[in-house]
Amino acid sequence: MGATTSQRYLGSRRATLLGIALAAIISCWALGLNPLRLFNNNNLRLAGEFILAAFHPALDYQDPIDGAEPFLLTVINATLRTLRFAILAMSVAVPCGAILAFLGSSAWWPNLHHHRFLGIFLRSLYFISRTVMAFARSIHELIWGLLFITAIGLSTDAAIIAVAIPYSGILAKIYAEMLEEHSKEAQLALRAIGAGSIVAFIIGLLPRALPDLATYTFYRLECAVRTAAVFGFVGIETVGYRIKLASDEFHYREIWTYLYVLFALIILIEWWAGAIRQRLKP
Amino acid sequence: MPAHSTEGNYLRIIELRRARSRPWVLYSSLLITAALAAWAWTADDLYQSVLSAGQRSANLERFLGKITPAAVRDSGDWSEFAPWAIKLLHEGEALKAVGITFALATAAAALSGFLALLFLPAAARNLTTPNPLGITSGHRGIAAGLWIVLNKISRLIFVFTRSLPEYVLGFLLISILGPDPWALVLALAIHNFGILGRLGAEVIENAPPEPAQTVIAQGGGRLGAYLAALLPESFNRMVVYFFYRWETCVREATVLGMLGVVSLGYLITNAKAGRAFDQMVFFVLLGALIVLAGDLLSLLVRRWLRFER
Repeated sequence: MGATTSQRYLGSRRATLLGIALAAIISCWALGLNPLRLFNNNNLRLAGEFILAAFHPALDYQDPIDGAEPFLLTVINATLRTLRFAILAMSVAVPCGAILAFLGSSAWWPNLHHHRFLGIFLRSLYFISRTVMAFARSIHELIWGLLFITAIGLSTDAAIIAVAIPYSGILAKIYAEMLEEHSKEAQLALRAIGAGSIVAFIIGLLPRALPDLATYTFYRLECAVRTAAVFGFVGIETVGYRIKLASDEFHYREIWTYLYVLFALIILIEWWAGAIRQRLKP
Repeated sequence: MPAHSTEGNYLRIIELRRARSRPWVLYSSLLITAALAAWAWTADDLYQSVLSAGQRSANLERFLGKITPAAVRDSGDWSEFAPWAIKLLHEGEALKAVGITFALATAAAALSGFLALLFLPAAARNLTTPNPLGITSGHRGIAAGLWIVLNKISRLIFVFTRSLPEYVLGFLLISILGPDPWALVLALAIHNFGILGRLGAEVIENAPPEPAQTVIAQGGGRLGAYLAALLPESFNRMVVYFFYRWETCVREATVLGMLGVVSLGYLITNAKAGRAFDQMVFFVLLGALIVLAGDLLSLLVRRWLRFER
């Protein structure tokens, strides 16, 4: 018995690896990826220049213009705008995602054996919110942004909504999965001694799932900072906007300054999330 | 039950409440979050839309008037939709773009997974230390310090590559390599290398240590412990993470085409530039379909792997 199960296990492992490798080779062939093309002289020269610039990021403009805002002030402003954009998007997405997750999760449902119509109602609510989640997240935030720009024109609030829509969907999906997959002993114990289903959910399940929920929310905040940077490329004045301008002038050292800013923001968020998670754990 | 006992319970509850820990980190975090949100919403330079409300609604009207497919708009008959869509899929290169989107995601995920597997043992805190899995290697002083430095540096590299957004990387790589699919594959691969490396290192840290300890106790090295004990043990979890990242790669690959390589994003920006809003919406919905298909496929594979365990 033991031998057959372990052989089966090995078999599936090998099949998985082979499948991935095969798919990768077919993909490379379809894209016409030739490793030799990557290493031609021009590419190597530019890549070398770019990587060398990493070791001395700019502290001033590489081509200073008289009367322009000091470089470091520009960096600080871009950083604050990036952070702010991310916070705005998240402050819309988290409440929306939480509500959607509650509606699209069965973790708080009462016993439905004796409530036929309530059951039908809750199940259709569940189905509708799951569909909304799937649709919202299946369109990338940048495409939402592009749709909004095309429909009503470029503005920061439209961009924030464009990020908040898919983020609500993703947060809702993960929240709902976490709530449904979390261990339910405390919740069931509360139900057994007569607590209502919603009370049992709020007291018995939510606090236990909180560390995971918080960790994922912080991960999404981190993603929102990156997305804020990306939205610089459609004209919101975040770090990405500055990267684009610097890249147009081949100012690699300035680019690295902004990349390090992003790095610092991500590290800061990760450190904060770690500190909170440690205290939330029972 | 005597009354004083209830009172005693009550006092005990108050006592417990007084003795509870007060996590100042949580309280101050709540305060900081509230302050940050207030700052984000009230600072005033944000809402400068270049357009007036009238221009916006005019834009919206023009956009909505043109999103029904051209063939349907002309004939007023939705039976014209299917031929229109099929023509777009074939002549508009949409099918090819769908294929390229999946190919970009697969090539990038495989590349990043492979590189992450190579480098993640250096980032695992239980392996790259002077005392791998609690067994001392006998290294002291500088030699012991070097293990710790190697661990910190590799963790830092993973965080750094993770902090670079795919789209920004794609833009920079295209400015270096030119409009080549390589640029987009590398952009996706670099970002996901950081994420998979970090997740993989965590998997290794949480794996049951006994088999690896046996390898080391019998004279094997860290690499032996990784390849012979830790990696086989945590294989399924790693593959689950791989497919989870593949799924996000598909999602990102749909937009990376905006940078100039023919994937769906390219068709979307093209349609937008030509003001063919009906085609634009069609491609956007096609992209949504691709992402959902990717999610479903990854879900099926992950479920299959879990049952196999």
